[in-house]
Amino acid sequence: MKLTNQIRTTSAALFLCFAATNAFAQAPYERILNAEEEPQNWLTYNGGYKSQRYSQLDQITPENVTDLKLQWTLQNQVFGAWQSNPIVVDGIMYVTERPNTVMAVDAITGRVFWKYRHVPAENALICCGANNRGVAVLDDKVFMGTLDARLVALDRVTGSALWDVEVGDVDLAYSVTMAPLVVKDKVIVGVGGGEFGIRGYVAAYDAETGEEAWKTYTIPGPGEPNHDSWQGDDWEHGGAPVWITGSFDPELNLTYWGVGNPGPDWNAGQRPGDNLYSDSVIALDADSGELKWYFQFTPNDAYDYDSVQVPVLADIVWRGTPSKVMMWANRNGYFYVLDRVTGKFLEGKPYVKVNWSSGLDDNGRPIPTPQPEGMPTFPGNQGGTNWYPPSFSPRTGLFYFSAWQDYATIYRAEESDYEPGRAFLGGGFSVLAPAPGAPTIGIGRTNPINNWTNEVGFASLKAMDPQTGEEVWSYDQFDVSDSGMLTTGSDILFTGGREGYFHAIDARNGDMLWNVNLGGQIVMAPVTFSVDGVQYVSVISGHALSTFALPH
Amino acid sequence: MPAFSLRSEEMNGVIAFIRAGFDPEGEAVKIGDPVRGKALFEGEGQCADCHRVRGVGPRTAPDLSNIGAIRTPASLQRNLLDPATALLPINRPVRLVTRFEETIVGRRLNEDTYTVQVIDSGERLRSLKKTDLVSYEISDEPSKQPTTMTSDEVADVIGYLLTLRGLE
Repeated sequence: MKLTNQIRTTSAALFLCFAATNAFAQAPYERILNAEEEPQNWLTYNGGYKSQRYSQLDQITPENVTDLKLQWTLQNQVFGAWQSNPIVVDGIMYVTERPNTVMAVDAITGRVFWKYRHVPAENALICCGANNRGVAVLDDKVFMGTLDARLVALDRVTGSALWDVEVGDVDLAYSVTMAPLVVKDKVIVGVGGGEFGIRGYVAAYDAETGEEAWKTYTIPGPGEPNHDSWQGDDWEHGGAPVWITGSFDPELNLTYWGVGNPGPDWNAGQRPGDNLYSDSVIALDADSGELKWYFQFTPNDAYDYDSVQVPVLADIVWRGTPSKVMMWANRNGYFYVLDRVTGKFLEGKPYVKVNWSSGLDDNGRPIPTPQPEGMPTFPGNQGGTNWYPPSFSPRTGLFYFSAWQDYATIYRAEESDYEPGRAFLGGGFSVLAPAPGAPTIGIGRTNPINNWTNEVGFASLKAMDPQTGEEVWSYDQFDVSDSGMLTTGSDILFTGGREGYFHAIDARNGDMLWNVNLGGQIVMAPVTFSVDGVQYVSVISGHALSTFALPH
Repeated sequence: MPAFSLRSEEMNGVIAFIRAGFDPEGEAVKIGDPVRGKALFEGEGQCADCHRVRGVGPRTAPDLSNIGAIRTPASLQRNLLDPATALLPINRPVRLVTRFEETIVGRRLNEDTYTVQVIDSGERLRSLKKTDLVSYEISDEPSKQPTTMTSDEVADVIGYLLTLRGLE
């Protein structure tokens, strides 16, 4: 259909190139710092430096959410789990597609302005999917980490490459799958490769030039404090990756990062010692990268309990005292509340069945009760929860996340030799099945038929009260969920799951308000934003990014 | 690489073949000095008045940072000497007037039956629904006239453009 007044003009419609007046809106650090005060945008991976994934937008309410209408869908062109978290700045959405493509999309129409494709080196190695969890923005730039362990900066308006630097050695199986975190004038990323015997680190790069500003290893070297939590040369290939975006407290000037499993994954006996700082949260000075404090969730881990979760920060009155806390539902099955100023353990309780430990001591250290060989360990390998982001609502005071309930695995340890760039796993595991040889669950879901049933494990969306460390309510699904959370100023909790249902749930009491069958696994959290006074909610299901709004 | 013993007319033939983009039907294009070409690009050639290279210059015309990797010498020459035939249709200037009385002048990035995406003269990314437009003109005239540079100067600019191959 040709627009009747779309005419071809022969008059010289000369295109005047102004010396850049640059009317285009910038995203300086001040805006990122105050991201939570700009709910019409989604400026960082988790909506703000506290990583609460809470939006003040309240146009969509529990009363009108059933009126939500699909506005547009963007489909990607690549097979595999789409874990990207979109960023929205002034009506433009930036989303990545596997393995390393960035698209700039109009937030109202869903049409694409530009697309930039980085082709990772052929020998890039990842354990668990060619994933990319999204970009970061600062000023007129957008930043993406790559599977071949590089960091790329693009012009936000045109998508052209500005700089492209090495973060890690791809031949040693380093990778970057996380969305970077921009702090002040630097772009910070961690590295993946915990299954390949890397030595993990977090590194910061100058946003203008890509020059490395600091690098802090997650495994201390000789002469550094806590190096003796490793023996011999185990530290050189001890893993401890960082592959999920951290959080930042500007007053304390601390960045917080969840650190992953030690290597080899399932043979703890091969690496005696606590293996610091694997399975820990580390607090690094934002300017120098210096380690200020750490708290380890799982010492000498035999179960792959990566503490690669998002550190959720909140300023609350905790048991009568105004406190700066950090809330953490850990892969190891415990829900923790920590003091984020000092790292002091405040509270920790199991949120699912836990049998690898009989409890936490007064300092939060687990009392190990390893299971006999061939017997199941609860929670299983994928954890009581995993990397997908939780949410904290300052309105309800509750912390929400996806747990895997009644899920266990039987672990098997084997002696492993390190070889550069090769898997360094130390054994394996099998998921506890209800009958011999029955189908079970693992990473991701591609089968529309659930023939394993909820007897292998099921999703329990838990609302936790940080005051008590206990569950207030839960909302269960038949299959497990790898979906993150989003809460809003009208007390809606939006989340998905492996079955492809996108839900709106009442954040106060867990009532299911609305859901829609989008048909593919939802493996990231939804985001919300507004343009021209209309609130939108976007979620990725399978290979489609769908955006909803009320009729307007 | 070993030295060849070719007669000078054979040597000229080989060079012409290479300069024609390895196309025996192609036109041999003179390639000049990239250093002089860069000075012309940024100066009297006026290219940098509209085009961006390596983060410098307006975004209104296409970014040329990797143009040397995606165009042949003949195509670059044609763009300078006869832009009316060389310019890609999507790059023709557009003028849109919305029913909210806004006039947008710019270059298209994408279009479909119901919407059009442009970068406007203020370097903003805009997406418009066609139902919101009262007029939509696509210019048949290119955004620039044929160059007034000499053929040696054109060869120098081509030499410079061929060095623009993105981030190395």
